[in-house]
Amino acid sequence: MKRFMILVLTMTMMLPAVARVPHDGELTYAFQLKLEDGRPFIYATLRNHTSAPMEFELPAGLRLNGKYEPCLPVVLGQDIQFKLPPGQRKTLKIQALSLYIFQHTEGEYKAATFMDDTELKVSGKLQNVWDLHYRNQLPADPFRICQIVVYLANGADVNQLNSMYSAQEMMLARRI
Amino acid sequence: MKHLWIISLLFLTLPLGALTTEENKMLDKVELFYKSVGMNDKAVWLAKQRQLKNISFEKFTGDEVGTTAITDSSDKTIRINSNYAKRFTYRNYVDLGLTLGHEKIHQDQSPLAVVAARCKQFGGYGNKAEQEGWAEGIKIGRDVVMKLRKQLANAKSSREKIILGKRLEQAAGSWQTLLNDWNVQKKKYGEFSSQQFQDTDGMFIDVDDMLKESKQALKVAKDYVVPANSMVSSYPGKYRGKALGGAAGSFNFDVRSDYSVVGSVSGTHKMGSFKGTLDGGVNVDGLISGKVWGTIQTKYGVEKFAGSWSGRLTKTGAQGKWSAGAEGVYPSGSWAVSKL
Repeated sequence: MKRFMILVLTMTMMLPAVARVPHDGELTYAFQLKLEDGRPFIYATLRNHTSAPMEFELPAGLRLNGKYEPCLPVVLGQDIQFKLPPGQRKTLKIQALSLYIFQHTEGEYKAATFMDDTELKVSGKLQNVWDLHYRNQLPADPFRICQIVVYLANGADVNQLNSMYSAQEMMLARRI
Repeated sequence: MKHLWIISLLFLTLPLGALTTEENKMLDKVELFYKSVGMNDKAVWLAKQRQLKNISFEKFTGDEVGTTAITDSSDKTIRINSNYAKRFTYRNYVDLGLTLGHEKIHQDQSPLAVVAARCKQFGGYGNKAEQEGWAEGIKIGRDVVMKLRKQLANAKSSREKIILGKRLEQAAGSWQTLLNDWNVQKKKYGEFSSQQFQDTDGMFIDVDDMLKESKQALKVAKDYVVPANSMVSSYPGKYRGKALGGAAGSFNFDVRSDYSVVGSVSGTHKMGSFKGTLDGGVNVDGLISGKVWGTIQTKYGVEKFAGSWSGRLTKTGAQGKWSAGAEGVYPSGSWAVSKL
C-alpha cells in the first residue's frame, strides 16, 4: 500500500503542469490582509481543484480591494510564481503596496476583476522594477521603489514622498 | 423632457439582454453556420448563452471601436459590436463564429487569471489568456476551412460546388484576416508555443504554415467559383447552327438569363419537310435538355411529332442529339450550333 502511495505520488508529481490559464472553478482563492509593523501583507490562499499540477502567477500590481469598509485598496508588491499539486492548497505571504499614504484595516480582500489601463501600466512598471532587481541593475530596495511608483501614480504629494524616501530612490522610481 | 423620461422608463423596463429581431436573426445564422461545418457543440453553447441572456450587441466607442466582441470573465457576459448585427453575409457569420469561439475561452477562464494575464501583458511578458482565445479562433478558422474543402471535394453538382466554393472563399478570407491580425497582436500578447497547433496528421504547424494553407484554400475556392461563374454567366445568348445526320436543316435556340431555352428546328427528312419548336433548360454544368414538337409534311399529309433533345454547352457553342420520335419514321439526328 505504501509503495503504491509512493508510486501514485511520484506519478502525480511527474504529471505535466496545466499549461493553460486556469478555468473557473479549477483555482479557488481567498486573500487576507494583515499588518506587520504597520506594513500591509496579503496572505493568499489558493487551491488547485484539478487532477494535474497547476502553475500560476500572481503579478506585481494586481489590485485587491478590501471587502469591508474602511477598505483602502492595495496592490501586490511582487510577482509570485507558484506550482500547486493536484487538489492541494497553498498559502503565500506577499508584501502589499498601499495606493495612498493611509493606514489599512486588516481583513478579507478580493482581487479586482477589472483594472483600467492606468492601473495596468503601473503593474507593468512594478514588474520592470523587479526585473531590474533580478538583473542586479537596481541599486535600491525594490519594494521601496515599487511603493514610490504606486504613490506617484496615485497622485501622492511629492513633498511628502521626498520626506519619506531618498533622492536616489525618488529618481529611480521616476525613471521606471 | 417628459419624452426623455418616458424613453428612459421604457428602456429600463426592457429585460436585460433582450435582443432585437435583427440581432436574433444574426445569432440564428451563426448557429446555423456552426452546424453546417459540424461544430454542433458550439451551436449548442451559443443557444445556451442566448437562453441565459449572456449575449448582447452594443455600439462600441473609444478604444473598443475596432473590437468585435468583449467578454467579462467575472459575470460571463459577451458584448458584440453592433456593427456585426447588420451584415447578413457568410463572411460575417464566419467572423462571428471565430470571434465567439475566442470569447467562449475567456468566458471559461478564471477572472483572477484573466486580470493577472493582463497585468503581465503590461509588463511586456505577453498575455496567456488572450493567446488562448486567439488560438481557439485560429483553430476554428482552420477547422472550418478544412471542412469546407472536404465538402467541396465531395460536392456532386456544379451548383453545390459554386455555393461551397464561395463559402470557402469567405471562410478562408476570414481565417487569413485573423492570422494577419494575430501577427500584429502577438507583439502585445506574445508568440504561440511551437506546439500550439497541430494538423490533422498530428504534426505541429505554425501561423506561417496556416497562412500558406489559407492562401491555398483561397486559390482552390477561386478555381471552383470563377470558372463556374463564368460558365454560368456565358450561357445566355443566341445559338445558331445545323441539324445533322438523319435530318438536315437548321437548329437554332436562345438561352435566356434564367437558363430557360426556346428555339426552332426545321429541315428535310426522308419522310418530308419538317418544322418544330424547341423548349428546355440549361443546368449549371452546361447540360441542355428539353422537348421538341412540330409537324412533318409527308406525301400522305401533315403529321405531328413530339420528342426530346439534349446536349452540352461550351463557351463557344453547343452540340447534341435530338429525336422527334421513332427513328426512321420521324426526324432525328445530331445538332451543332455556334454562339453568336
